[in-house]
Parts: sequence; C-alpha cells; structure tokens
Amino acid sequence: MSGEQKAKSPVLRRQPVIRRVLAALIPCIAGAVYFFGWRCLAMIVVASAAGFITEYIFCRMRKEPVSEAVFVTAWLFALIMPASCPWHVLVIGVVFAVMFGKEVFGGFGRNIFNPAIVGRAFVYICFPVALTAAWPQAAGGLFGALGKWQSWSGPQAITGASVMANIKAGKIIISSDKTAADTIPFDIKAGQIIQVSPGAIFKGLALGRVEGTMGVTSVVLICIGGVYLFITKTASRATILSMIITYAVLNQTLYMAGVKPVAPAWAGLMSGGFLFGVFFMATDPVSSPRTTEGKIIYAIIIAICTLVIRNFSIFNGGLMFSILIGNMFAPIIDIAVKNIKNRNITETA
Amino acid sequence: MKIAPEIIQAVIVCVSAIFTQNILLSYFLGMCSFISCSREIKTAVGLGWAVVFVLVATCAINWAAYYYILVPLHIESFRFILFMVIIAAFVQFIEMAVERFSPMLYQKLGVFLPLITVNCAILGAALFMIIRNYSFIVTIGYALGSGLGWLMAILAMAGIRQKLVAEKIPKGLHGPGITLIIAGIMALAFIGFTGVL
Repeated sequence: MSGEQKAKSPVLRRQPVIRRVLAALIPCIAGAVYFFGWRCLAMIVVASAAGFITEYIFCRMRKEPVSEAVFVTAWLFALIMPASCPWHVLVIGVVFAVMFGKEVFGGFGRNIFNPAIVGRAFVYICFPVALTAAWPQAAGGLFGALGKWQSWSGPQAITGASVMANIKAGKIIISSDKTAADTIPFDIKAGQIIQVSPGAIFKGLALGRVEGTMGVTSVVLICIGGVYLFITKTASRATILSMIITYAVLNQTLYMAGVKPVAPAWAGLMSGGFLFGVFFMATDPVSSPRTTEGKIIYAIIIAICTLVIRNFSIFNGGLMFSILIGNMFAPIIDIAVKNIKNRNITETA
Repeated sequence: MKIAPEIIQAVIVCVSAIFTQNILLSYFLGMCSFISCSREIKTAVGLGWAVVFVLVATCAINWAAYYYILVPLHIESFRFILFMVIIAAFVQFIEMAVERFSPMLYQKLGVFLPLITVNCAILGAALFMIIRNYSFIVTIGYALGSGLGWLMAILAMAGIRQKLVAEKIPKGLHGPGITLIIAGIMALAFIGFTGVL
C-alpha cells in the first residue's frame, strides 16, 4: 500500500465514544491488577493484540480502518475471565469473539450479538473447567498483589466455586446470626455449610476481595466507570435503569416468597458482574434495539432471563446467556415497536 | 385419571418445550424451512403459525392412531410410516383450505407449505411424544410448546435477517451461511436454560 492511500485510510479509526468506554474500564483493570496481580494486565494486552490482528485481517479485505471497538471487545472479554485463565483459552475466545461475533456480520456497527459475550459463551461451553471451576484467591494486605505476577501461588490457592456459586449451592448461607462468620470462607469442603453475616458478603462484593472473574469482583470500581458512562450518556439510561429495577423487584419478590436458591436482591445485584453487564454489555448501542421503548423491553427480557438462569439452571453465567437472548430478539423488538408507532400515527392522522 | 395434575404437567412440558428443549435450537429439527423461510418476517410468521397448527393437530391424531391402532395390533414399528402418512394427508388438506380461503397467504408460503410435510420438527415431535410416554393432554401441551418455540426462533431470525439485508456480509457467507452461524449463536444462548425445567 502506498503512502498516499495510507493517509486516506488510517489503520485505526478514531472514535470518541469508544474511548470513553475504554476510559471507564480502567478502574476495573486497575482492580484486577490490585487483587490478582500483573498477569491480569498481561492478559488484557494479549487479548487486545489477538483481537486487533483478527480484525486487521478482515478489515484489510474490506479496505476499512480497524475500529477501536475491537479493544472494547478484547478488554471486556478479558475482564470476565478468571484471573488464572490459561493463555490459549483467552486467545481462542478473543479470536472467536471478533471473528464470529463481529466480522462475519460485516465488522463494526453491523454485529447482531455482543462480540465479547459470544466469545465468552463459546469458551464457557468449550472449556468449562478453566472457566467455572478454577477461581484463584484474591491477594490480601494493603498493597494487594501489586508486587506480584499473580496473586495465587499454586493449585492449592485455587478454589472450585465462586461466592455466588456457593450461595446457589446452599454452601454459604447469609444469616444475621451472631455466630455467623465475618469473613467469606475461601475453600468450602463438600457437605459443609457455612453461615456468613450479610455485612461480610456486602463488604466482599463491594470492595472486590473475593473469588470471581478478574475485573468484575468489585462493585465500587464498576460503578466508577458505570456512573461515568451514565452521566456522559455514553450508555443508554433507559436500558440501565429498567434492567436494574426489573431485576431488583423480581428478585426481592421471589426472595420474600421463599423460593429456595434465591438470594436477597442486593446480593444478586452486586454479584456475578451483574452491574458490569448492565453498564458495559447490555448497553452496547450496536447490538441493543434502537428505539427507547425497544430498549426497555429488551432490558426487561434480559433481567427476567438472568434471574431464571442464575437461580434455576445448571449454569451460573446467567447474565451472559441472557444478553445473548436479548440481542437475538433486539431486531424483532425494534420492528414491532416501529410498526405499532406507525399504526398509531396513521390512526391519529 | 385425574385431570388437574395432567394439565399442570402439560403446562410445564409446554414451557420447557419452548425454552429448555426448543425443538429448533436444542434439537436442530426443522432447519430447512427455518433457513429458507426466514428471509421475510411475514412469511416467517405465516409459516410459524402453520407449524404450530400442524404440530398440534397431527400430534393429536398421531397419538390416537398410535395408541388405538398400532398398540392393540402390536405393530408399533409401523409408526414411522403411519405418522408420515397422517402428516402428509393432513398438510395436503390444510394446503387446499389455505388456497381456498387465503390466496395471499398461499402465494407467500408457496412451495413451503407442502414442505411442512417433510419438516422434521413435525415428525420429530410425534416420535418424541411416543418415546417419552406422554399422555394425550401432555402431548397437546408438548406439541403447542414445540410449535411456539419454533415460531419464536424463526421470528427472531427473520428480524435479524431483515436487519442484515443492508450489511456488508462477506460474500461466501450470504444466505444460508450466515443464517447457520446466527442459529449457532442462538443455540449457544439457549444452552443457558439447561436444567431450568
């Protein structure tokens, strides 16, 4: 390619909106490094490189510049991986996400499904052990894992279940008993049931020193980025609000009705990266409906599916599957909303 | 035979046939008409309702035929032939009715209406109901759920394909290629419901 052509089509397309999303993700990345060590940063870099190369190959065929959105995909994908995720799983996931989530549909702005979640669901099904049964322990102390490559030192520091999985399985019971533990136990043996005080769970989920996917354990850090997106209107407010409200109301109703594995609404909202999904994934403007009414319906569908899958299915990654289901119905919701609007206009005219 | 628990079970089976055991997205039955008829929303909806109707009606007839003709005569192995004959005859009948009462719909569905005969979802549901020992009421619920699940899937697919018309899909993937990829991702999403019911 000659220099003149290069000037016409730069390698990277500048996108201010995408840059805001990337900036909003930085607190989560910092949290990942703090809790799980510098390997997390390396994972982000590797994911970005793999995503960029994949996108570059396809973009050269279409003669378009690479969109910065590929970094959002790569970062989101890496952040919802366990910190001990093997390298090959990470790379396969990102390549699959960019290729089958985005490029086969024609690249940036044309994808039907959220690419990061397509990749995540794919590796979740293909490498279940690496993604559902290997959670490293978060580093303790004031400086966390800042001085370390990784927070865990060997296989004994890797547990089989995250906090949410334990609550679902009935191994951790949230109780306000005096005898309840003040810390979240790391490893629970089979058949053992531990009572944990709500305060300990709340603190763990808010600050993020718990087992979980590397970037989304801390609600506080997610909210820093999320509120920034909310205020700058980068993310759709309709989606965010209707999703949180629907989920909270339904969850609390089920909890009060005494349905078995359902945890209180605050624990549900704060765990499993629900808020991360709400702020960064469900609001993806490309794969969610275009109309405001459509966005509300879409958010309600996702919230209901999340609740059902999280509590009653064999999988824990409820939000991930639900967003895919939401994406799948987004176009038809849009068409339905537009049809109804047009009918109303012709009737009033 | 008590009716109330039967009906409750029928409702449960119906919901599970829509979500957890979606006949299209979990068993991949009825793919051919799913791919060829999902280009336009109107056609998709028409075909979807046709499948719902044919599924419920033929499952009911097949159930009666199996338990009142084949079982007493001890010739259960003839069920494949009998089911196919019943389905073909029934669809033929529907086709004549549609042609008579709704020429518009008949034109839209065109060759695909007879194709329902060979839609594996219809035969598949009839065979599943035998394998799983469903009673008559549960069979109706199952057939209804399977049909609605199929309708839901083709509706979503039609919406997606409508949106894709204007997009720059790589040349080799036009038509069935991209449709199969989308169906795969849809199936991935529906795996999440495993174990709910």
